Amino acid sequence: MTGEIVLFLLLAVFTLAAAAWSVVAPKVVHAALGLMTAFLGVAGIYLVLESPFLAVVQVLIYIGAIATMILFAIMLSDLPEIRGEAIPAGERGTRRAYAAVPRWLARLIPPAAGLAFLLLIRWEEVGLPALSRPGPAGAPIEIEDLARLLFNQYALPFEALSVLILSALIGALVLARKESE
Amino acid sequence: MVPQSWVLVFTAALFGLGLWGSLRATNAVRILMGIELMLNAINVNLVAFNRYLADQAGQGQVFALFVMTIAAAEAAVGLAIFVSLARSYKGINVDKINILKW
Repeated sequence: MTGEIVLFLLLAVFTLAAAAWSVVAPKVVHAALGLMTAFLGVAGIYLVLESPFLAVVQVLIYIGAIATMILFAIMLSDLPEIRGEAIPAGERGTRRAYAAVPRWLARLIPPAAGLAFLLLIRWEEVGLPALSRPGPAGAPIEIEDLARLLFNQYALPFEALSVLILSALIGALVLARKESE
Repeated sequence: MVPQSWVLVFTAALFGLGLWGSLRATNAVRILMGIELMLNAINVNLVAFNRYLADQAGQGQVFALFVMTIAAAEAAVGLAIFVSLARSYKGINVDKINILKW
C-alpha cells in the first residue's frame, strides 16, 4: 500500500460520507454544506489522479460558484419549506443515526477538511513520503497541454460554451426578475 | 498507482448517492444538489479514464472542464427557475408544482 492508495481511500470515504450527509441532512442548509464538503473531497481525488488544474478549477467553480449560489438561494428565501423539510417516516432511522454523531465532531469536520486540503497541496514540502509517480511513459498532463487542446482542437466547443454561459446568464436574469405590473 | 477499478467503484457510489438524493427529495433545491453530485462523479470518471487509458492526451480533462461549465450554467438557470416558482407558487415542492401537466 503506497501513500497514494491510503490517501485515495481516505478521500473517498470522506467524500462519500459528506455526500451521504448532504442527501439525508434534515435541513437544506446543512445539505448544501455537506455538498460543499463533498466537492472539496472530489478536488482532493483530482489531486490524487494527478490533475492539479482540475482540482483548482473544482474548488473555484464548484465550491466558489455553484455551492455558494445554492447557499445564497436557500438563505435569501424566506420559505420555511426550503429551510427544513419533513423527513419521510421510513427514513427516521437514518436521521437518528446522524443525530447520534456528537456535535463537537461535526464542528471539527470543516477545519479538518481545510487543513487536509492544504496538506495535500503541499504534500512533499512537509516532508511526507512522496506519492508514487508513473514512469516517463506516463508523464503527467501539464496545464500547457490542456491549453493547447482547449484552444486548438477544441476551440469551437470552447467558444460555443462561452455563448452558452452568456445565454444562461441572461436567461437566469430574465427568469428571476420580478414582474413589474 | 490507485487501481482504476477502485476509482470506478468510488464514482459509482457517488453517482448512486446523487441519484438517490435527487429521487427522494421533494424540494427542488435538493434535486439540483443531487444532480451536481452525479455530474461530479461523471467528471472524476472522465479524468480517471483519461489517466489510465490515454495518459499522454488530456481530452478527458478538457471534457471534464466542459462538464463543469455546463453544470454552472445549469445551476444558475435552475435556481432562477426556483426563485420565480417560489414567487408565484409560494413554494418549490415538486409534488405540488404541476403547471406542465396537461
